[in-house]
Amino acid sequence: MSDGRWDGVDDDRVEHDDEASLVRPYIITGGKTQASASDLPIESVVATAEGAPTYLLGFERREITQLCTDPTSIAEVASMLDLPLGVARFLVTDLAQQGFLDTQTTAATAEVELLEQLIEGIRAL
Amino acid sequence: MSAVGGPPATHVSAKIVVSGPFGVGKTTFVGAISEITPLRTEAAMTTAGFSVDDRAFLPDKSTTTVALDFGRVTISETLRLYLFGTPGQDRFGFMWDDLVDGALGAVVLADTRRLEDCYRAIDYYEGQRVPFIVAVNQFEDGPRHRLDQVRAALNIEEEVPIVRFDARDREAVKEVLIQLLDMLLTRSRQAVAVSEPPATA
Repeated sequence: MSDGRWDGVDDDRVEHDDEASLVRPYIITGGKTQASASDLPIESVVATAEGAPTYLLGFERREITQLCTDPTSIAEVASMLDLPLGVARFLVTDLAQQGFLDTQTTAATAEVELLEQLIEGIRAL
Repeated sequence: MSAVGGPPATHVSAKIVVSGPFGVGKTTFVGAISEITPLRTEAAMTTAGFSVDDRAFLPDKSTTTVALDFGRVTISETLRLYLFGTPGQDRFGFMWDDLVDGALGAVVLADTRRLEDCYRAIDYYEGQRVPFIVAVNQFEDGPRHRLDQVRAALNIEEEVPIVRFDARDREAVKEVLIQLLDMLLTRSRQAVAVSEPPATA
């Protein structure tokens, strides 16, 4: 950074890879290019369902079920498996709908009790 | 989200988004409080009418990636707070809806050397009715405007808190989040009071 303010990485690092991925995102998703309202939020935590026949799955989907034996959020799935966020969101939602993944979380809403818990928890960090 | 397969959910994910122009300190903010090192993910495909075939969006023969600031704070065994930074550059604006969807609220980071650069985030949150606070990340070489001057310059309402802080300071980052949550708490209590009027004779 020109201001020398911090030593860490810059915001919004943008790269242009000369070697584009051989597989376009819409191939992995089977043609889907838009999220739908029913897609799980990117902070959803999912875990691989016990006994799910994951050997039936294609490469990316199986990788997700391997990773999610530890409950993992969609954003983390994207990052760890190097998938675009929208692709990870679609695949995880799809796997959850088919029963390969269990959703572990509900999205928080701004309720008094939850907000109090968050405030208390952050204070205590 | 319990509509999608499996046993009932046992955990709650709360989300707060952090916005502001390129280089304002979003990465620093998230990194100051997150228990995981910032993760990166690619923005090659998403929602909001963006098609992967839209070549106007992608430079020729290359894959565009943007680092997505992402942090996690475990509050309790059943409650996690996730922080997401929104990309500061206009051409990644199409990602905002995905990131902001379901968020409790937002922190808009401002730099007094270029206040006008956070108009876009403020407009977005006002338009989407997402509660937000403005946190001025005070750079050593930035002018120290009074906060009421910043409020006037940004044209934001009295109900929106404005604070000055240093994004490198973990305690200061905690305080910013608490201010946002306090505002949400006040609103929730008011909403409860309105929806549940005291019983009358």
